[in-house]
Amino acid sequence: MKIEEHNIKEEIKEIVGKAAKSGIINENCSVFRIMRDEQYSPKGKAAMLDKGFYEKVFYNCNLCKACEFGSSNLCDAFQKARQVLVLQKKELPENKEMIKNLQKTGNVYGIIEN
Amino acid sequence: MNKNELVCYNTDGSGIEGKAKKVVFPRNVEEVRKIVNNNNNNEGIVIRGSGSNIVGGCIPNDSVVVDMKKMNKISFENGNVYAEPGTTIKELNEKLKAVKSEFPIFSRESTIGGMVAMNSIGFMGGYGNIKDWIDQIEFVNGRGEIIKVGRADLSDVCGMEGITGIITKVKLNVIPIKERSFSFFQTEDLEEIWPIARRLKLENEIVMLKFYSKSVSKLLGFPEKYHVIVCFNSNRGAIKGEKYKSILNIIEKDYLYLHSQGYCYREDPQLFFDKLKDFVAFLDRLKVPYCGDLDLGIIYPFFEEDDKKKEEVMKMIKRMNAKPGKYGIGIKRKDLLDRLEKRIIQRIKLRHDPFGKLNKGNVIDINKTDIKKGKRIEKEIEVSEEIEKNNFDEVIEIREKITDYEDTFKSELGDERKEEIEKFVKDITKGIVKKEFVDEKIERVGDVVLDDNLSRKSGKISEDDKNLIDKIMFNSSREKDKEEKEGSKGDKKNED
Repeated sequence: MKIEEHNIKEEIKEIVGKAAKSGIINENCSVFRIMRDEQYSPKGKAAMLDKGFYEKVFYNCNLCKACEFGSSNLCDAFQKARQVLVLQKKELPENKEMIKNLQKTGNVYGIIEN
Repeated sequence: MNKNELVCYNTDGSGIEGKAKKVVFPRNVEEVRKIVNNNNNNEGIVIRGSGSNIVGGCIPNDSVVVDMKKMNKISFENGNVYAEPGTTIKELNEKLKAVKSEFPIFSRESTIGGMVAMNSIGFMGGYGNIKDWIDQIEFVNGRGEIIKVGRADLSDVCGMEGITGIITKVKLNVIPIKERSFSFFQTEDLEEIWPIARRLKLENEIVMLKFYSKSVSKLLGFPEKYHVIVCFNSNRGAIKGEKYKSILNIIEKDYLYLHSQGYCYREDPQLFFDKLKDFVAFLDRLKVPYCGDLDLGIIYPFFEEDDKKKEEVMKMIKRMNAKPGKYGIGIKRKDLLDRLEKRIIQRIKLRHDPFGKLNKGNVIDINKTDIKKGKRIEKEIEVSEEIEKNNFDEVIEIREKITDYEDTFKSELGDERKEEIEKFVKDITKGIVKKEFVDEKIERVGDVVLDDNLSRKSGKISEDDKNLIDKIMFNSSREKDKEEKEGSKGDKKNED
């Protein structure tokens, strides 16, 4: 494990440890209201981070900070979890395609201008 | 779903950790029924709503988790509101807003199924338990039967914490939207609170009496004093409109403020109003932060992780014979039940879920002997069903035999015999004497004529008969008699 990745993971654990894991933090999450699976909810994601599991589900977050309350800043933890995923090279196929398109054509859509 | 993602279903608001084997998301009643029928006895089923329970109500023990959140339809039929268990109260109220009504058992994140299973009290205690607002519940029991219960039998599901069945539909009562308002009462002297609270409890308009200790009020941004926040069901209070909403937002999330300060555990002892005073004084002496619902008689003390004060408080709660208030029993607080209560719950459990499939280890522990009892009941039912089936088969067999019997003993008549019978039938009609029906009022019952052999004459009626008839019908003859009598009396007088 890289030092950078290790440090980020420690920061994440600190943030998640402080946060309330009650159902009320799911209340305003727009993604969870549509998907209705626990792994998409802030509470579920916090539980995963608490156990040290980093999955691609963290990409399914709007980073809107609706789940934040008081001194807890869960959204920062999710953003940092994405950093860890990038360092672990766990990327979505869409991201890979986007990067390829950028390299080839200069835009994310892969459209070549005449 | 990934194996790592299953971790989300291992815990709930209590912080206890279990292990989920797999997660299923039913979308209608039939799917729920299939899940129950296909489940092995050893696996067990754990029903999950929003997972906000703080007593370990939905902790799986290597069992299947049934997540009800995808059953979230709301329908309006004949002026009634039907909601599926996965709908949250917030979603329900958002929809009801369109028809200018609301469901008064307020809770933000809890699902209806979860609240019904816990028979929980809403944010505003004045509206009572959720059971008072339900007309009908549809649920699938441990045998996989779909059952509908009305108001009389609601307690078979309501408040049983999911050990008797999986709720699939609830018929709710709603009220028109009301404007509410707050009033504050601040004091530094604890003794002032009790007479005022006692008086306010009697008011019908008051739906909430929230009580905050000095330390908690400071955390919430109020002055460092004891606070009693009174919520009116009308515009009687001083705080209305936008200010009301902002204060409501603070009160609803009070425990999150405390959680952010490290107070992550809380209890909910329910006491008699007279005992609240002593309990609060005890908490003040220990410097434990607390809040309370004075109308319900519940005080919520908050504790940090590994807090030594918690043991002392728990001892005091036991000594004061407090009952569990809002949060139910779950896995954590089985000791608080009496033996009688346990026995009653056990009976209801075995009636609906004889194999102990649903929410194993929740509320009560069911021994192997109990499950055997349940199996025995189940076997008896199966046997009786078989007997009924056999009886039915027997009846069919007997009927078939009878028809055979009729067929076998049918007389096979020859042509000669048939002619003889026809002749005999024709001769019978000759023997019958024709009768002239004088009166039309002769009764006929089928082909039989009921004749009383009385001769009925037609023609002129004699004068004697007429007099007789008049005497009977009009008493006319009496008048004549009277006249005659009066005449005779006059004669007698003259003679005198």
